[in-house]
Amino acid sequence: MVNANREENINFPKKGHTNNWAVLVDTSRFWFNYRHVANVLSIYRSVKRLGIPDSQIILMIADDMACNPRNPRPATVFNNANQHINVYGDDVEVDYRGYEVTVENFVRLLTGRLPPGTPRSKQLLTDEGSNVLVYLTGHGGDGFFEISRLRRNYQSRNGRCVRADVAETKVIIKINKKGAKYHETFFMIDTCQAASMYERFYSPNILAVGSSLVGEDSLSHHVDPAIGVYIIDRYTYYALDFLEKVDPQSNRTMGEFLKVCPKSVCISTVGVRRDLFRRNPDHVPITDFFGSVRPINLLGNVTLQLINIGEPETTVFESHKPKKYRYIPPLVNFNTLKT
Amino acid sequence: EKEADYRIYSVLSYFVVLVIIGFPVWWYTTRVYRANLPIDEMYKGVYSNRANKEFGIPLSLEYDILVSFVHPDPASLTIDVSGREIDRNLQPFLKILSSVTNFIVKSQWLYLTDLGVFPQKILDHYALRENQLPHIISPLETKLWSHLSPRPTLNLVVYFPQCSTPLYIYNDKNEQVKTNAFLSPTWGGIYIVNPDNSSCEAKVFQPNIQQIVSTFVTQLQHLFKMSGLSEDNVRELKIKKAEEMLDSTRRTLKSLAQLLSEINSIVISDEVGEKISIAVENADQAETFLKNGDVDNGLRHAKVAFSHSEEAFSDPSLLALLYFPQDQKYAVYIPLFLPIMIPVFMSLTLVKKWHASHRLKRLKVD
Repeated sequence: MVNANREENINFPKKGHTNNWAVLVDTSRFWFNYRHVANVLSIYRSVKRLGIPDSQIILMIADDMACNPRNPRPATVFNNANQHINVYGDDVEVDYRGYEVTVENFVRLLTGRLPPGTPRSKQLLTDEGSNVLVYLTGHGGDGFFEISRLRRNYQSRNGRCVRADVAETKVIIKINKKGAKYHETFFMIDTCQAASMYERFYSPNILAVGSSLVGEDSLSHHVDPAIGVYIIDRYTYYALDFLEKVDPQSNRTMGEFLKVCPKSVCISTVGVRRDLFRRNPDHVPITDFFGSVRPINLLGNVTLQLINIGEPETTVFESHKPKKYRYIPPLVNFNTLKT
Repeated sequence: EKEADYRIYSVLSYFVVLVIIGFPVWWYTTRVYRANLPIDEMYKGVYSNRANKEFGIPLSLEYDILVSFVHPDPASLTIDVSGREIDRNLQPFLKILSSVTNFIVKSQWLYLTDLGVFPQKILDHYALRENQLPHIISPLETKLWSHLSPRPTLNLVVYFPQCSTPLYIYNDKNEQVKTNAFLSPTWGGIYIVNPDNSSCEAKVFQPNIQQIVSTFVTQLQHLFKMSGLSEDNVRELKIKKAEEMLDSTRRTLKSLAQLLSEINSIVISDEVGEKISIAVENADQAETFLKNGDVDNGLRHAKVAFSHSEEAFSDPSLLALLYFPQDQKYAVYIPLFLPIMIPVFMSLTLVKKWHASHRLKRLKVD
């Protein structure tokens, strides 16, 4: 029985995407890289607040700052010296932690070629309607960003995620786009010489922003004297400032977000790559990438089904048969024996 | 004199082993292994225009159906409904779809959980506006644990509001929605069941199972985009799903072929090669069956093709050479072999000189 006003009740998704995913990666370890963890947790918090559920966020953090023995405020991570917000919170879900943050896992995650048996929370299960936000933070250089610096004063070669790798990952994702793995992607990179990371993209529908151009370093914002390290980077600080004023019903645009850190405050120049992006960022609402609203249809008519309410189910499970007991006569009582 | 000959033979033998035998062996063993693939077959195929397609549930051969009962106030009201009962009554509908996909039904209870939006009070009941509905799903989903299984999940939620706040859904035009239910095309559906006054007084509520099951069936129908439950509708669904699977298979295979031509370091092992061949074969067979109108066989082959193509494309062994890119191969081997090759090639000049003097000697003798 078809509902006559079904057509009226259906709201086709107007945006063209149906779900949102976020991949947030922090690649550096050790206590003095506290700010990178604070960066990624701040973005995580914003993205969650704007509506993306945990099941669609992949959070990769390379080291534990909240429970680090050097943390004077254990179980907290702050992104501001006045310590208003504990970005660690009590509902953070880290999917890849510590030594699991490696180049291989990152590439396998993005290309979807994880070994069978990987838990669903560690997989990126995007489809053709997904908008993906990718945020990378850490140390970087011309053509690479460093994942898991193994030793402090010696840069290990194995950790580098060479730009060609990432570009090839992007090729794989492009082909995945033909096989329908994402709708649009927004790439945010907050490392030194960030622009070199997105130079070699050639997949369609990618918008990329980096906190500094090739040859420039991204700088950190301020020190918290109580904790003793720099606690946030400049670009992320101002990006967060912008995002904190956005709520799920807001109509701020991506164009505004791309201008969020002018050279006067950021010192490094923010680089943007928009030639691969089909739409004009000034007309794209920020909730397209940072938030998540589901399309809904109201149910019109319900056809009544024939049901049968049966007797309570006989239990399906077989109970164990009890062990068979038999009578065993008592031992001979020697006291009563007649000699 | 003889020693000179032996020296020459030794240089020549080094040359033969290193260059003539060694070089091809090295090349053969360090190439990227690719099993034979029907590349031409992978490129062909007719693709539907996807730009206008409305989005729906992800395409898969198996789904989990998670029935969740959300009860915010268990202290004041006992609700007597069993997940097994609902499952048993859903089975007839699920059996109709069993040739297309398999279903695994699970159920759970969520206590002390609210909807997270604030309804508006209207006279004696509360109203949820249509524009508030999308904001119910995300907070609810964090508690549902629907992301634990390897199959995509269809969520069917029943919410029992508290006795004091009966809840009804109002649409854009401010009319009350009779069914009190809504669905999200990619996620699942939510149905709000208000306990009636007599049950509230008695503190026990037995919801109408028929109503719940019927609502679920209708929601599932909408999720699968079926307009009814008749034979024709089912046949239509089978054809649609078979075509979707075929389309997806062709796209995946074409993407893989393009990837292989663009990136040199992707390995195709024998198992993956076999899966691809099976996928191609079955896709062709499915197409022929569908053209001839044999829907069941077409669907069967389409399912095989779909599952094999997905497995082949997302096989982890494709990235086996992730840390060994082609351009760095030379950087690894040159420092090993170049120092060895230098004396060998330099000795070849010796051979040339010897050969020249040998010929001269022979000429002289002759």
